[in-house]
Amino acid sequence: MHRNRFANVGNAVAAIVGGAALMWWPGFVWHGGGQIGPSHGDRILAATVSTALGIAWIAVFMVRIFRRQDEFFRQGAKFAWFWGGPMGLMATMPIYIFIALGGLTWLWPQTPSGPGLARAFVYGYALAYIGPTLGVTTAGLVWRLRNR
Amino acid sequence: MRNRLKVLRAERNWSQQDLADRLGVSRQSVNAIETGKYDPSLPLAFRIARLFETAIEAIFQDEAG
Repeated sequence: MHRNRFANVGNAVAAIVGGAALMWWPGFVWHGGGQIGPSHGDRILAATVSTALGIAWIAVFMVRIFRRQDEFFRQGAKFAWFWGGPMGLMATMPIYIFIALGGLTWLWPQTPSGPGLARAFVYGYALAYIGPTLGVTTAGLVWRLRNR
Repeated sequence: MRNRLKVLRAERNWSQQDLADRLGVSRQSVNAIETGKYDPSLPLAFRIARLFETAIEAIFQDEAG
């Protein structure tokens, strides 16, 4: 079990370092934009694909970490994700309302605003809810089907 | 759920880490079970019973019962 613990620390480090490197390399390579290098569209594509690869990398290590945990720590992880995830997400709701209604502009009038920015903010925020909702629904369905 | 894990372990002069290694779990798991903060799964309870060569109910007792 000692070995598993050290292995999981290694897995966590590998997940974070590798995932971050995969996700952010386009930003480092083409830092500052400019005329040299690929076109804007290619950069968007590269950043999107590399982010997907980074997330896949992290997911692989998350599975490895979960498999190496004993049942006590798995129980703890489930507890933390079940309660911590939704609670953390819901805690952002008042902040969302504040910003969506123009709270930042109210506090700092120089903050950029407008319908386009407001729409982008709402879409971005909604995505953070849609992902976990779909994930929880899918995982719940898979669990029910496997345990029928 | 009450249990006699700590007593059984002490009888053999095992540390929590010794027991954890024998069961293939973490020391924290052993500590949580001993202090009654965590009830082990049936497979782990059977492993514990086999390790101490006794019945599960000789180690774990239901407080309601």
